[in-house]
Amino acid sequence: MAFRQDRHNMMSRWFFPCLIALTLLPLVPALAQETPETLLIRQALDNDKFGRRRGEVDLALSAFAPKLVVYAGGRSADPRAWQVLHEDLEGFRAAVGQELRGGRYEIERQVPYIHVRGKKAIATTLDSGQVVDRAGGAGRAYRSECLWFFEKVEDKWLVTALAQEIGDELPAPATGAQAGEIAEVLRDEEEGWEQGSAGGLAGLYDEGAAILDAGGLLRPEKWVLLLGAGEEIENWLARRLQRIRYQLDRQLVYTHVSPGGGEALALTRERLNATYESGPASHQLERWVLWTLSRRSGSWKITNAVYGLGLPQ
Amino acid sequence: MRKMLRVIPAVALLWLGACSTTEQQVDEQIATLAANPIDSPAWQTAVDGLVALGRPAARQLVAHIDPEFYKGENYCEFREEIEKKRTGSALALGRIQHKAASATLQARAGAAFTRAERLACIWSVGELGADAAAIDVLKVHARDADPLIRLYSAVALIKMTDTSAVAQVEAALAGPDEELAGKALSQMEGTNYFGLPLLMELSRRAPARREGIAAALDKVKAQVVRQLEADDPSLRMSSARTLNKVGDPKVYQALERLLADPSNLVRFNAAASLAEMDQAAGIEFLFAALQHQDPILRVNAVKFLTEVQRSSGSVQGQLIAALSDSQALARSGAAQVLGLARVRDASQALIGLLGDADAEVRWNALIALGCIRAPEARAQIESRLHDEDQTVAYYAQWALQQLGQG
Repeated sequence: MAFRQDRHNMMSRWFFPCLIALTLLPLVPALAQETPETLLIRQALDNDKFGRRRGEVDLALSAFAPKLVVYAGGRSADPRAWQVLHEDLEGFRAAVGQELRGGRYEIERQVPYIHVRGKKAIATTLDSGQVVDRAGGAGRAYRSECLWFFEKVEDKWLVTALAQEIGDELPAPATGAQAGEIAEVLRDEEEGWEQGSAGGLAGLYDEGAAILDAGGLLRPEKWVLLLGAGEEIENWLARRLQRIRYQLDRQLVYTHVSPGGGEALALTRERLNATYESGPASHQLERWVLWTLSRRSGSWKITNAVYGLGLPQ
Repeated sequence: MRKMLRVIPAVALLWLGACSTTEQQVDEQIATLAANPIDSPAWQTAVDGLVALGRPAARQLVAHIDPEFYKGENYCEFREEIEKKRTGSALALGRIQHKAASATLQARAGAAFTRAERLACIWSVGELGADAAAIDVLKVHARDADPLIRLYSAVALIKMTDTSAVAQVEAALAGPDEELAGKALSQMEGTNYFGLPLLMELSRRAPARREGIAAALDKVKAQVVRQLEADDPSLRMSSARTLNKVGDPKVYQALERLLADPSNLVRFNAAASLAEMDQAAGIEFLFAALQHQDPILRVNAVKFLTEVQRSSGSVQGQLIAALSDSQALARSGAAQVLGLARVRDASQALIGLLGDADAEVRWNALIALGCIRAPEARAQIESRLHDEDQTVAYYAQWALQQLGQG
């Protein structure tokens, strides 16, 4: 009898821990790739998700930086469909507040990709579920793919930019109207390379600017951060221009400036040719580049450059 | 003391200055690699320049073959530029013999890298010498879809004394692809004493390209003979030992000169090679050592005579004759060699030694008969079970166990 009692106690003591371990077992490979930084980023993304689910704007926006830019993806990964939707946190807060007052977000969020480099990171999310109208009770299907840009401030990862509603739809042809001041900045950047002026070029980049590599892909699931920590861009420019001469043939394909005039987007197609001081080799490449620009500091500065977008030739 | 205090910062500054100079020199050579086509004279000169800088350059070179290096401040837009830098750095690391780079090089020999990068890394892994991980990696690449990768991997394995992929070299030399065959010959020319036995074998039986093989063999042979005069005793030793099948009077003379080498191992390896080619000087050297008062020399003599007997059988007659030598050390040593080499024809002569006046000779004869497992010796072995010398009696018991119950 005592033996049976012991066995019962032992089973009840081990049953639940074993059950939990078995439940978590399939998650082990995924968790193995996690780092403290990716866990913190997931936490920031969870705050946004739970805030939307509960209709709490403050919780949803708790991980957003005051200097925020939100782009509308137009259900396309092609930047020619992208526009600047909000150029600061306040505008975004008002929009989110309105959304959450109008509907209840019953959503699930997947985070397929997180890439961290130093104090910068990018992540993609896929939200799915339904939004239930708070007044009428009617539900509509909800699906949204987003690209998030993060920056670590002290110990907290903050969202600095967000491209909402990206997808696979093809954009309408660009109108051809291009913002002259954006074209000028990108022309100055082109000339900076050709003149070998590292200092001049560095001056065109925002203090927190980042350079990314799309690796020939349009969708951002494999984009990687190349440069952006501290004075990395300036040092990189100095290194490259020390012994290499560049020739650039840049065509501005698309620009968009926010209604407030503080943020902008641009897409260029460019041919790059490099020759070297120490020998006869020359290297060429053609690439699409997505640019984001900001006028927060007074003049237009490049905030992000995404090299090698996978758009057709 | 005060002078010393003044000198120390100056020396430290000089040292720091020298460090930065090396770094700058590496940067200069890497810039030249980037600016010139792979294998062009200028590119080769830059690799030579990096090799000349030697081990102080190794840290930077290891960094340049790592993909992580090309992120951040070292980001490079052009894949071809990275290929030139990585290929040159990998080759330089192999030539510098920076063994600590082996794992990094192995990791860049995979299919994610360009052919030039892979070939350079595989070649360099081969140059860095044998280690178990490298052999495993090379064996995988020796089955690659690309025949050139297979060839380079096979040659790298040969340089690690692993002959498991030799068929790749043979296939390249026998096949219709002239370029691949040319690469096989040029790679084999770089195998030093590791590739000499294979080249000799191929020169005898290869179905095609015999002239090219003969030319490669001549080059390697000349290099190995030159190395007999190298400062490094291990290089002299390995070179001497690999020349054991080169029937050439000049080689005999060069090996005979090594019989007076200051290094024991060099002398014995040279003697063993000469003995395997049936040269009296080598055989006499080994038999003289067999009855030397110095036990270390006797141990070496037994070891090398066993090798010679096993590989060529050229000393069997002398060994059996030595069992009747007036010197007990010679009889004892010869018995050991005949036993270790399992020379069955020596069993009768060894049985004759079981009545030797010297106990050490008797027990070595018993050990030899046990190793040979000569059933005809059973009765004589049993007669020694109660030998007055306890060691002899012990080995009689042991030898009977080797013969088995039958």
